[in-house]
Amino acid sequence: MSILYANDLTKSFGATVALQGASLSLEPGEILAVMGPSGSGKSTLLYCLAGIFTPDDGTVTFGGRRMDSLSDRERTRLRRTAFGFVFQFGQLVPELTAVDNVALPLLLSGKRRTAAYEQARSWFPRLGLTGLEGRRTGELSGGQAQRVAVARALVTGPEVLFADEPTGALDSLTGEMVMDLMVDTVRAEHTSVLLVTHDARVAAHADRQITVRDGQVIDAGARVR
Amino acid sequence: MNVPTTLLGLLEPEPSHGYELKRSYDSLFADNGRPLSFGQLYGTLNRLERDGQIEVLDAVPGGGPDRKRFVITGAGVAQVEGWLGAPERPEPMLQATLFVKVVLALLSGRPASAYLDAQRDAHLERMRELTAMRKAGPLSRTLLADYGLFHLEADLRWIDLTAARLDQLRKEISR
Amino acid sequence: MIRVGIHLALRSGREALARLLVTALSVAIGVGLLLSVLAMYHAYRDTIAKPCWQCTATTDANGPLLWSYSEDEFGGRTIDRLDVATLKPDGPVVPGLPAMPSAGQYYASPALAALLRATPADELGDRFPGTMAGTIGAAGLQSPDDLVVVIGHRPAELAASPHTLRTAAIQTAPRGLSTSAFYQFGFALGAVALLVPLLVLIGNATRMAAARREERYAAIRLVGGERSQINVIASVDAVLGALLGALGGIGLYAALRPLLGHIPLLGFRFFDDTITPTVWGFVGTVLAVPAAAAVACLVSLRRVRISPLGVTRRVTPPPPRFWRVLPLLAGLALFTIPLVIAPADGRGTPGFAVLALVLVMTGLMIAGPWLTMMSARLLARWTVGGSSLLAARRLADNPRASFRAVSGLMLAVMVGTTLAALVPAALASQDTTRTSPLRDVLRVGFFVGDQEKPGPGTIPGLPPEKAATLLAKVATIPGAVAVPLYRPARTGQAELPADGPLAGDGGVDVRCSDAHRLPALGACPAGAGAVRMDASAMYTDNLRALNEYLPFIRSDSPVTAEDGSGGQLLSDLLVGVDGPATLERVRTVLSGYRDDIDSFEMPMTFGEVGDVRARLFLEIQRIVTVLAGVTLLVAGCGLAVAISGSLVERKRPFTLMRVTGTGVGTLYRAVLLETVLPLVAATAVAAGVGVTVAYPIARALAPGRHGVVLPHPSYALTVTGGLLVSVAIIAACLPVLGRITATEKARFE
Repeated sequence: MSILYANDLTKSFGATVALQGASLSLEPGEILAVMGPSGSGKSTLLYCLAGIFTPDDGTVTFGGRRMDSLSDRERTRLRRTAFGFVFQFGQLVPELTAVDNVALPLLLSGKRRTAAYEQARSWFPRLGLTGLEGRRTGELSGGQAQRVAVARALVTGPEVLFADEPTGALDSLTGEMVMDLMVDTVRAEHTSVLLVTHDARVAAHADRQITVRDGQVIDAGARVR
Repeated sequence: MNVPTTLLGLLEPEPSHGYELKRSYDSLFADNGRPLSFGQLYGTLNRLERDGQIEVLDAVPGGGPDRKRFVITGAGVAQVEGWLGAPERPEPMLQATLFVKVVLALLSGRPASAYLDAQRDAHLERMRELTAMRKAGPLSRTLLADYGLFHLEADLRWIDLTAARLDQLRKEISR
Repeated sequence: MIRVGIHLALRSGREALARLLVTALSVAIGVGLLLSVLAMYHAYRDTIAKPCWQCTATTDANGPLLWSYSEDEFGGRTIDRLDVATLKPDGPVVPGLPAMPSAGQYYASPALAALLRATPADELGDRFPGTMAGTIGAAGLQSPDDLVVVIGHRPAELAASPHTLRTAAIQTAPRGLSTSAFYQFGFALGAVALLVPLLVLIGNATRMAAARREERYAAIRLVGGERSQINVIASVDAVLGALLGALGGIGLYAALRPLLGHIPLLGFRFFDDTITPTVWGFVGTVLAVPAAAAVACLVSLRRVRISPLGVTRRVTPPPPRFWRVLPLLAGLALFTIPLVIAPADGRGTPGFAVLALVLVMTGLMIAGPWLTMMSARLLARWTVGGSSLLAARRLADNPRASFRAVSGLMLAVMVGTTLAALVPAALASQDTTRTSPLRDVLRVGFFVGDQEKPGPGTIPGLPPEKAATLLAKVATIPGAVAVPLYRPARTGQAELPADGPLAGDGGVDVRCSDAHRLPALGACPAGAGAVRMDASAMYTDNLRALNEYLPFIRSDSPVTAEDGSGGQLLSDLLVGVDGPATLERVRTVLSGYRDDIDSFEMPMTFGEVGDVRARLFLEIQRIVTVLAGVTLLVAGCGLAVAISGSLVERKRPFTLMRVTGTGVGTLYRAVLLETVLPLVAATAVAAGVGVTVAYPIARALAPGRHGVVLPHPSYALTVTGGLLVSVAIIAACLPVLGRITATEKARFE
């Protein structure tokens, strides 16, 4: 039973068609890589699946519920409780410290402050961030900031982690380290991951990969036959 | 894989018995090729001894090839240095094979892009295996896996670029 | 969620803390000044609402009080004098008194009591018979500086006086201040002139670096922050700054408070305890300012859509169009046309004028972006170079934001120009007060019209025997030179015009031997013993007009035989004095003749009469200066806040430009241009509008002779100085640009 399922999604921005009939499914605990060249629509697919964009047509089902018909408020609630996000950059609140950023989703969910911070701090050793709790985001290196973002994304115990080019701004060694830590952690947490990347070495961390081209998901096996 | 020079390199830090050499070789390099057979090992060692690149340091009384401890000679060190200093000839073999397949597919009207997609899947499958391996292993194994990954990635880039320019290629070769 | 908001606001690092402090400081300045205006307004309302017991005029044939009110003068200040006699006990009592004084006693206001102690009795004390029984409390006074005396008499002493009325009720209604409409106008003008820049300042402060903040809200949205949570967090941020600012503003008010007591807004100081914004003012400020900040914050958030991926404007605002100038033109037309058509009514419809003025100011604010855009286009057309290209692009892209920074300053300049153009014009008609040859000559008239006293009939002048005694008394005062003016006998009592000599031919007879002692009156024709002269100009309070009628005695003045010796009534008495002490001694003598003098016609020198008229304008000028200064200050703060904010907001593009090799000097020049250009354009337009507004009023104030009105040269200096200060403020903000865009700190997450 898929945890997240998209069927025949279309999405246009004005005259630009980003998705035309894209479908995919994500199994529980699976890491799925979505590959494709720039402008292929892979990020749009992620935003539609995560409920940030509403598709023009087609359905998104999460945990048996139709996502595309949910209100903005309900989708926001899903983002807070069931989803986590790691983007290339710009996802951390720059004025806040690392631990503030990790605690933020918990605070927004109404968790008590001491409990939220205790839980947030417990993530720092797991991601090799011990001692960096009090640093402001601007004082972290790129790899550290991405690991904080991973902690921030996983602290609420989400069912799906959406990662859009999570190592896009990092060198390959740092990128590998971030990917290793991220994959280890989501495996331990049994979190499903939708990993959008153009980098084959990042995609190689996944259990399975699909390719998006011209707004469609390519089924390689079917076309070879 | 230059087996003799590799064995020389393994001998350079300290004198070693033949079976110790095989164990080191296998654990460090076997993933990238085949494990070393004893025949190949002792054949190579004999050749190296004959060429004066190694010599027998001492032997446990009783004889037998695996009772000998070998040590590298000055000529042997020179050989290792020369090999390390000279860049490897680029091997266009895989690219050549893929290219021949793409051209043949285009000429015969078969779906070249589907072949490339399938090849990409195969590459990615291998990359996933290597990624799993590099995560499990010691650093030496990880580095070897990385080497394979970077090469496969280069192939993938070539596959992607070729896939994007198939129409141009078709026009060019059908002219 | 509110706690989370507070937590985020306080823990967000140095930059956020600095932003919070700047916001709080700006709001504090605004609130402090606002509270001061409120306090002064409260004092003003409180003062004009005080019962005007001096105005008591209702008669009651069986009333318990005999009441004779008059006004006297000392050293340029008016003394309210009430002579009263009690006929029956348990009658009404003047506010501020424990009881009505019994005969032979008087109550004096504290200021008068102090003056009595410091002044020789023959200059002041002798005017008040009896002994001081106590001082008058604040309830009976408008100002701690009021000179008031309430003197008790035996009924018989007062009954004979023509001014005395018998009354049962002391007036409790406030004085219908003839100037109150004028002051309402002034308060409205001042409030608008100060409030708009204040609001601009507070607005700029709370919007500071809004784009940076919006980035953070996008990040919060990404992790699942709901729109309502963003609203709460943003409001908490705004409210926190506003609340700190409001409290700081109360502190600032407390610091300003001692100074407020010294501002003679109505020409006198207010009672200290009436100067307060009241508890409700404080509570309202502490509640309303943060509430307004929260509302403003929510409104500005409504205009942007904060999605998890970033911030998008709802719509790209279209470039400002020409219609934006229309409200300004309409306001100018509304303000100017009535004044041009009927200049006399100009001061009579302040409500309408305030409306028009508000329209003019709003119009300026609306027209500003369009003007900014036009000047940007001119800049782009006429200049070349990186800096001007950058500046012109920025101005054309977002003329509203660029204008917002200078809007407060523009209003300050406009209001300043209006008032600076007005006040000199108004004063121009008084400017001879110091040069009149009659400046140190006291005039007192003995004509009491029918309406000026309770009983019927007109008293045309002082009878000869009384006049002789008075003249003899004055003659004993060293330094006093008396010139009696007699009413011609030919004009019988019946022919006298009801409202005084001005309406008739105004001729009075004067002996040449007397007139000779006041050379300014003119020289008699040779051999004449007495002449009849037209002295109606004596009754004006405009010294410029008076001077133009001097000398009264000309070579063609008719010689008359009526030299006062034939039982003629004494119409007026002129007394030249050689100093203040002499003047007060003369007035002390004259105070014995109160019954024969119009109770509202104080014996004053011509100089004092002119001063009274000028004093109002001088007060206005002083207030205008203070107001313009404060407004400029506020506007300058607003400018600094706006510029720093816009720099912080554009930190990233500026840094990128520096990284890619744009010199910091080019950036400095670009920012300077994009700020100074709208500033200069706005100032020029505002000054033009100010003169346009002022011109009709000035023409109404000073008709004919003073048609051309130009602001005083000092004002041009002030505006230039203000502009220079503004440029200095901008320049002071520029190092911030250098620092925040330092390439070694370039870092893009």
